[in-house]
Amino acid sequence: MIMRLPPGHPAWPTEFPEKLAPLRTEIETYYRELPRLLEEGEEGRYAVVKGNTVHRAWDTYRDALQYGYDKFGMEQFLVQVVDGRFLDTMSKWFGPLPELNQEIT
Amino acid sequence: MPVLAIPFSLSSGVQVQAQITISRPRLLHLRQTRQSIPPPVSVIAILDTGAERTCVDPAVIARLNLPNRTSGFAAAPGVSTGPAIFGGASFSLTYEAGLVILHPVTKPPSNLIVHELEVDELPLAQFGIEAVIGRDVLASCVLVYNGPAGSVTLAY
Repeated sequence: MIMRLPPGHPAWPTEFPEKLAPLRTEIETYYRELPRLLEEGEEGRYAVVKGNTVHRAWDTYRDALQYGYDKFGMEQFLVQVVDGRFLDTMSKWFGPLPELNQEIT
Repeated sequence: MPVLAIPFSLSSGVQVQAQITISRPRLLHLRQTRQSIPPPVSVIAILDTGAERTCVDPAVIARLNLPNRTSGFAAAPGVSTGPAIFGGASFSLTYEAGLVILHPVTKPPSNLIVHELEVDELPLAQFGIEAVIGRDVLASCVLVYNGPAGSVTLAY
């Protein structure tokens, strides 16, 4: 049996995995922008992230890749499905979002 | 609809000849910018309805220099040491690739081609294979497992 670990699964690493280091900026940007993407109804679509910017979300992985190569060529970019469950998982990597901090205080 | 007939044994499982490739968007970009294009890597793959996603051995990923595109993880019990929650699961990273399952008939072209695919990296060479073709690919196929006859047909 080989399965994907759904976001939020207890087996997800609690610290940012070193192997993902080349995508760290993009993953952190995705996490920071995730509440906005969810609010805008992008759940289930594929976000293209480069540096500190989310460059739209697309219906399919193929469309997102095509856009990424058109815009960034062979540079590193992230294609990540918009999934609210990442909020909890990634908060362990990057800490709570500022909005959440404000709510707590 | 091409049909691939595959003999199998209990020990080897349902093995197919396949190629791991770079994705089509990457290929087109390399072509347009006149950069060198890595040739497909021929692999022995097994069809596995127990695999949620297609997995590829790290050596193949390295040969194609496939890009890591997402932050997903896969778990495969028994492949490596890892969290006990999955009986020793191995975490794997996800890469952008393409896949071709080769069909002996070339006219008309009958290969099964997947232009873009998210594949998980898993150390498979220790099992004598280099790829596991999972339900992400099989979802577009008709797979008939005829145990008494020792054969499988894959239509797509």
